[in-house]
Amino acid sequence: MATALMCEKPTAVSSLNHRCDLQSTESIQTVTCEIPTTLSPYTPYLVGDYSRPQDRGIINPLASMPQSSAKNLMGLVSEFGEDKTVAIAQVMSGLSNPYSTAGMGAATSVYGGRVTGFVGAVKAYEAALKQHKQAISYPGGRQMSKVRIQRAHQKMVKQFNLEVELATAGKKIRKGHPLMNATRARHIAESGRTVAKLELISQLEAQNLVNFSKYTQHLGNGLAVIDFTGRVGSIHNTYKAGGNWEKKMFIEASGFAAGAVMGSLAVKGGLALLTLATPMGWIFLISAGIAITAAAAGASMVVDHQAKKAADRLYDPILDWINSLWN
Amino acid sequence: MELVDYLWGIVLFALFLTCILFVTFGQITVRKLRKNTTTKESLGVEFASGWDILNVAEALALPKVITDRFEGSPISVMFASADVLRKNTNTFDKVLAALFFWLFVFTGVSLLVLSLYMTLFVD
Repeated sequence: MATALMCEKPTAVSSLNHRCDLQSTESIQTVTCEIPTTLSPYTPYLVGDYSRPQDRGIINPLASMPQSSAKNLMGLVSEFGEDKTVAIAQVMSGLSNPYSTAGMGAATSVYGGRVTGFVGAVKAYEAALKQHKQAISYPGGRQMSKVRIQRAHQKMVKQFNLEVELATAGKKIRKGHPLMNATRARHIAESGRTVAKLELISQLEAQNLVNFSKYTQHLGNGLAVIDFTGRVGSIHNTYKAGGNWEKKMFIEASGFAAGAVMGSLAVKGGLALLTLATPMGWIFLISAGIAITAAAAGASMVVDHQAKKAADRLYDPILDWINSLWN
Repeated sequence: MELVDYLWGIVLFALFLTCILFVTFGQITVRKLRKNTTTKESLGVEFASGWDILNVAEALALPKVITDRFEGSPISVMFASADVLRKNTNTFDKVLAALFFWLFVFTGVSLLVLSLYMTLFVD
């Protein structure tokens, strides 16, 4: 368990006591065990009276994060708050990990209860959709069915938020809810969130946080664009390294388009196949739906990889051919 | 430049056309259908932004035999309602839908086949 501090602007250590709840006895150290007088922006610092080697290891992923990701992280924290950002990063890591169901492992019995809750909400939503067709044949049925669908959808969203809440619950109990503690609320309001105090339990949490800020762009107003594969980042890196970034952009764009077309066709085809087969119950549909999504995702990744390689080979011949049209 | 490179060239060009047709079809036909109150509800489930364009193309391009099977199934809500759409579109829309949809299917299938070939037999 480690507490990391990161700020957006150079901040003097003495001014930190009033922001973000720091006791004056707590010392601040850099990753390399020095004690600074001013905090430089977008670098993580370890907070605490003592720090074991394990704790130091926890903020290593944060220290090796590129500055663009650090800026993203600060934006996300100012929007959602420190605890929620860490929690969302945890939930997203579960989603984007293709082996997440296998990885639940020992925690499955605890997690199993929550999965039922969420899957139950999804089932209710799909049942509402299924009944919609019959409902619209009755007078006044369309409106009633619409309301039912909306309610089921809200329940589904609520269940997802519960997942995030549960992840933050532990942290909240330690710190106290801002509404219960007026001083803390004032500190939060005053600090304007230019300083982020992140509480991390393990290096895995820190790594998930770093991954999350890599592929999320904070756009302000609660909007975050999540680019799951960091394509824009790699084009930008090529540009900065002085490489042939136009070619890189062509390659990434081809891979994206190919993957997207392939993936959407796989989902469409999967759905069509489902209907053309014999009618079935909803539980089968959910597992089939997961299978379709997994297949679409897998196929999309293979196609993306191959399309990128092909685009790499074809870029120069294509350019030569286009030039030859002029001459 | 081997044969497989020419094949990739064709497929990438088809991909390019598919994406352009996706946008044009969306603007010319689907926007009209979204605004029309009779058809607004029958465009199928929108999994991601723009998915209803794919739904409409599927409904207009596939033969009646198959779309009737879709209508009769328990998950018919997810598809666009072909009968309603056919009544509210003209021939140009139907031709554009068929062009886009079959090019989309061709691109997707060729991408998959070529990628599988490259993964399994090359490198």
